[in-house]
Amino acid sequence: MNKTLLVFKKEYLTRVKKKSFIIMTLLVPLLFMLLMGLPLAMTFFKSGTNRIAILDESGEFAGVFNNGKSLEFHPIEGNLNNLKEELGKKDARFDALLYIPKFDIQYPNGFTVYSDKQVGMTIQQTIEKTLQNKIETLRFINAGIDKDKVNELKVSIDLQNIILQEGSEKKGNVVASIAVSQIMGFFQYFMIFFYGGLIMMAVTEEKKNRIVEIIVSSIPPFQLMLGKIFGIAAVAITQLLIWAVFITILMVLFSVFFSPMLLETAQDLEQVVGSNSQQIFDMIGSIEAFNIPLMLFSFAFFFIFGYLFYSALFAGAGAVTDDSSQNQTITIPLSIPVILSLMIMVNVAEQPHSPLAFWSSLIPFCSPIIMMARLPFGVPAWQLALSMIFLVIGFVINTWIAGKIYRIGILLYGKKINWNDIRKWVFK
Amino acid sequence: MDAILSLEKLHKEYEKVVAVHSIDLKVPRGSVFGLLGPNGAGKTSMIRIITNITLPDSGKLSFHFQNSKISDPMNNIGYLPEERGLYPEMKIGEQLKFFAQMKGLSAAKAHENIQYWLKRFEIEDWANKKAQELSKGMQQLIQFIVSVIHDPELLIFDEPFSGLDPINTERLKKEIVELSKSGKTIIFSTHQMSQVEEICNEIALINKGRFILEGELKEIKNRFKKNLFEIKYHGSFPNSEINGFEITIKEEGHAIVKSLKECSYSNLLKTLSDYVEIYSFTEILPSLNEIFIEQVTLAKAKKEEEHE
Repeated sequence: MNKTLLVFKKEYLTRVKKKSFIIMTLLVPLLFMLLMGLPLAMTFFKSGTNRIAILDESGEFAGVFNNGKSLEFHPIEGNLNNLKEELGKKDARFDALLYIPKFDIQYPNGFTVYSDKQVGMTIQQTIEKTLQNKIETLRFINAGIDKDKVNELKVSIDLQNIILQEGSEKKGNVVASIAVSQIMGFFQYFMIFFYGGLIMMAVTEEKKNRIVEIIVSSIPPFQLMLGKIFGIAAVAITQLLIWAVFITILMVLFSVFFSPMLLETAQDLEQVVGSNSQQIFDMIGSIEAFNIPLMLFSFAFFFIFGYLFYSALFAGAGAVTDDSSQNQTITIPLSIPVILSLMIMVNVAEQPHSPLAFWSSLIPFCSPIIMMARLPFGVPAWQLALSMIFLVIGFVINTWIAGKIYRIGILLYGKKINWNDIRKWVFK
Repeated sequence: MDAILSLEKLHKEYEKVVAVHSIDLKVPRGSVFGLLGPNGAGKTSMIRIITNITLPDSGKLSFHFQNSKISDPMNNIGYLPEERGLYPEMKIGEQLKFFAQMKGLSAAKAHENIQYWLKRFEIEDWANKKAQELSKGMQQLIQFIVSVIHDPELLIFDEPFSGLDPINTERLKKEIVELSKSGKTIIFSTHQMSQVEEICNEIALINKGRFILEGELKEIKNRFKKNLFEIKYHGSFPNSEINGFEITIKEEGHAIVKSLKECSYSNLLKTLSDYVEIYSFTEILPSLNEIFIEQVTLAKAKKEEEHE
């Protein structure tokens, strides 16, 4: 066991000290921050306000356009062609020119924004919305309808989903559940493939470098394999923890520095899209309503054992090949259940409690992905427990099988190994 | 005999192929033991059983080490496999430390031994180099150090000189001789007979999983001598056969004499000096290569006979 620990240490330290590990470990949180921060950063660095001149030939729009945070509207007089020429000049009085012609209220058209470059979404949508509102109001008046009355009569239904479970009530939110479910499932998929691939490479490398024979004269192959699997698992966990810490720190920093901006953006967004901020708060609230400790525990559990389950198989696969092109063909049977799980995962979002979702979340080949995808929708405790037990049993069986393949495979050089050989090694 | 390693009825089969055929063997302590045989004879299979890499189907394997402090016999064996390598991206110092610790050494002892060997080969500055930065010959030197780093009593070298340039071959030979002098037992597997004759004092000839010959090198060579002598002389022989000696003249004054029956040197000299004046005389002993080929062919013929 002492020697297993040595292998564990060696696998762990050589990997953690590698430049590629350090780069990847730092890069992912930075990338994450970039993804989150970029849209905001863009508003932050945006050059001041946009001045929009309004040439209103219809005379209907006086005082209709309200100045926003980044938008200023000025009525302007003059000849359209002259005004157009002013655009883009250094001393121009405006960045864009909104031209409102005389229009037929039945068929309103001809509204144009002139600018020297493409106008942004916000400008486009703000102007469209304001024009629509005003024209609608005009039409209501023409038809003799009181617009305020209509607004009063409008109704918006918000369907709440209360989940009754173990006597308590929880607010559900389908959008949040789907998001969390797919993100976690996909993350599991990525980690299994990435670290499974890593262990297979480690095994093949050792075989290819002809170093394995020296090692197995010091340590039994099974112990060597365990040392490797757990060493690389520790690398994965280290990376995950660093990511978690980094992302948490970044999120905190982010919310401190950017939350005022975030709020403004949300308000802007509300102005533009007209969506109800209550919905957004509901969604954030329902994420908090998830059983977070259970989710984190399950995530860690399925991550670790999902990795262990597959890594044993990947180690076995690595042992029967000695070049990486052959690796690709041997990984196909291993990838099928993983990719299948990914396909089922999409279905699970629609029907989290279907028989397909139920069974595939119990089978160890898919459970690390499917169970994680089902969890945000609420899974009975017995199903979760059963799935975990199956996964652990699956890991033990896989390790036993992989150990047999590994023991023989690593010492065979230059021989093409077929499935029949492998079957013999396992069941001999 | 004081044996460091004994094998009793050791047997190993791989799907219909018998790799090691119920072998008995004792390796004398302090010997340089040559394990000879053609490719596929079962040498590596046997070594892998001795080094605990594979398990025998049946039979017994026992070690008799002097240092009783080392509980795991594997920690008292140094192995240089034929298929060997290093971790390309690991520093030499770190690799040696890893392997030394894998053989049960403490970190401090490992460090001490690493320093000793790097100094001995005058390569202290390699410690911080990665294996991939070294040439193949340099890497093989490191692999050799890996096999001796834990100061084992029994060393097993499988084709140690394959792929080495003549300078490094000499260097390694010298080291092997030194190790032998310091009391280590060395098992040396090869199919290159000339090396065996230089280094080994005991040999075993293996073919198709069986020993066809084993014992002391000198004794074996004597056993298979063909009573051939090389002489240089003045004068001329009247016949090509004289009193039980067959004479083949190579050139003027140089002949090969074959004694048709066992005879003493003085008898040979006495008989021949009646005809010519002899001024140089050597017995021709068979090379191991010849014995080897002869024995393998013999074994093959015998087997075919049995078949018929």
